[in-house]
Amino acid sequence: MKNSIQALTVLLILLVSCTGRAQMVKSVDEIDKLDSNKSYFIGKSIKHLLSEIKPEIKMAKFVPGTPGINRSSITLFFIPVNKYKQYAKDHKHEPSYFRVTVKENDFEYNWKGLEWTPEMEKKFGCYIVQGIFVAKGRK
Amino acid sequence: MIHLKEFQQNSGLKKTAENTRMAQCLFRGPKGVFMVKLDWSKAENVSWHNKSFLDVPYYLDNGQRYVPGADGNGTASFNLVIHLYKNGDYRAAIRTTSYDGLSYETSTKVVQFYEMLDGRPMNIWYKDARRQKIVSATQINISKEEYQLIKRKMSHRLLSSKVPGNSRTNSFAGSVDANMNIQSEAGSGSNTYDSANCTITETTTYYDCSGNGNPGSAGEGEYADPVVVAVCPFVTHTIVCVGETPGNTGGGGGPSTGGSGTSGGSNGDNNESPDDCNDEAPPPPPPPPSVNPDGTTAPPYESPTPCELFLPEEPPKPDPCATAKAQIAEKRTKLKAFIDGLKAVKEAAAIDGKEHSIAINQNTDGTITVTPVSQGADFSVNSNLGSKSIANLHNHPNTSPPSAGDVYSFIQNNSMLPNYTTKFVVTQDGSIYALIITNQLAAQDFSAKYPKSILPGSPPEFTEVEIDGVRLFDEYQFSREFFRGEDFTNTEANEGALAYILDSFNAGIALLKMNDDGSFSKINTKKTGGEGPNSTFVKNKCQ
Repeated sequence: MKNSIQALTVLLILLVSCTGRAQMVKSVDEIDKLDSNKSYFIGKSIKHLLSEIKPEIKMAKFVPGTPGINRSSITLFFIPVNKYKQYAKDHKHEPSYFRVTVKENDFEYNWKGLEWTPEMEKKFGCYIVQGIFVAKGRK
Repeated sequence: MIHLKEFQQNSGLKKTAENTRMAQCLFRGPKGVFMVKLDWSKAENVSWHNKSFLDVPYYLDNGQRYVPGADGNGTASFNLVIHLYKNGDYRAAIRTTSYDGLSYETSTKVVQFYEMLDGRPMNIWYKDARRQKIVSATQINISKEEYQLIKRKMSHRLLSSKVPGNSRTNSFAGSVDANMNIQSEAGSGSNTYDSANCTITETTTYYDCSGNGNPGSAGEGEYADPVVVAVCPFVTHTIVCVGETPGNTGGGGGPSTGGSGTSGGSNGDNNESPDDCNDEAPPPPPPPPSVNPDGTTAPPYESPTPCELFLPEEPPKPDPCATAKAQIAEKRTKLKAFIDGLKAVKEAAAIDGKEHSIAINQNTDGTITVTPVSQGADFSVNSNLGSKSIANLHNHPNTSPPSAGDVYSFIQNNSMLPNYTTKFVVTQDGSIYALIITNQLAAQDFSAKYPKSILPGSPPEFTEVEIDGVRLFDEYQFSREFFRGEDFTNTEANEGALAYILDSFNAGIALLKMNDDGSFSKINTKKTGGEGPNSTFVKNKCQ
């Protein structure tokens, strides 16, 4: 009985520490932490990477790779599609984003931007991160 | 006086031993000392004004014809020009041809300097983009500061000058006053030129730094050894004036004071001999090399016409279609070596679906050959290049036009092999693209400013990093996306995006595509408005 209570206590502590731990990127301003911790994410899934980012991903651009020619990448933004063009027009530069290079190329080219959906997160979450590039928007 | 046969025999003996070693030892790269040596197999007989000349090119030990310029200037080449007399004697001079481009046919300004073997200057000839014939000229060496001052003032002023009577390598020890009068401390004759007949140039010239010369005492047998010459780059700021001047029409004078010795005078003396002539009578400029590295024929030589008016200098007009380069690319595809190589690459790719390559080489005897097909991997292949390569070709086992990786590897290889100026890519659907170097220095600058993005195990890409407010990778994608939205095919969108990067960011490279009739057209892309996702572009092909 005593052992069971102890095991339950340890389990509860672990659970709380896991669910309650702080994410690496708490705001868009901290997006460059992905770059400085690149090695932590490379070789792991996109799902794992996204779990370290608190701000919501709202838009994605897709470049499928052609072997020997160009890489596959998914570029993720924190701004919705319908505000993206206006943002670029008003600010004369791109908003913050990060790009994940992956091995897979089973998606269509799209550089206009598509709404990032839970379905996408599920599908692309399993892809393995090969490289990360972070572009921080100007203030 | 040494006779030509003896001269050649001695040259042959030296060439096989000592000079080869010297040439190998003293070649120190683009900004150092170059050893150039004669290639008798390419000697040409030239007849000019009833006089016979033998024109023998110098080559670098690695087989290259052109020596890179110093400090970002153009290139130069060297020839030994031998005046053959009827009695079997000869007199020789060294011609340095300085180009503002990479070779004769790609240059807009060409200046030819003749020097005697002891280093004494003889005369100078000039050609620019607006006159397709080379004409006699007078040279005045000036300092860099004078060059900059005159450049600002020259267009509307009359230029009065005292022409230095001696070496072009001596700096012009004078000054330029507010009225554009140039006072020389070393002049021997005074000449006046209308500024309309003059231009100022900043070129790389080369001087004999082998230490063999004996300036000032040009007795026979005291000449520097003309077989192998060590030359050092020297950036020259020069006023080049063309046409006879009022004060210099009567002949005589030094060899560099008006060029009258070459352009006028009696040239029909069939009994000529060195003793009959002024020792400093310079040889004429022989025709440009009759065969260019790509096998094309150089423009025909025209005799100088001293009295012809020299039009005011204007900056060379840009050629947005790179027409001359496109013609070179086309001519290269007509070469048997290219046709054979293309066939071999296509056949190999049809069998295994992988990448393959060949290189087209120009040998020292001028012949064009093709290398055996290099077996590549699924999506990469060895460039197959060597020191004599002028072009190469590889296949893409898909319909993709040249990639960013192709561009960067092209620039890198061109930096080491200046004669390698064309990269052909044939795709699975038979399309043939050519990347051509239009400006080697710009290409180097582009590669340095926008270094390729590297990810191990992946193809290189244009840089994602922001440089001067621009992310090249994103710019490429904005252009590509725009063309896709305009109902271009994926391949056409990729072509347009690549052309946009090359053209808009001064890559010194043009993207060409072969037309149905075998000609090549440059693909042009320009941004027409907007920024980032709001950018609009236009793409067309030069006709």
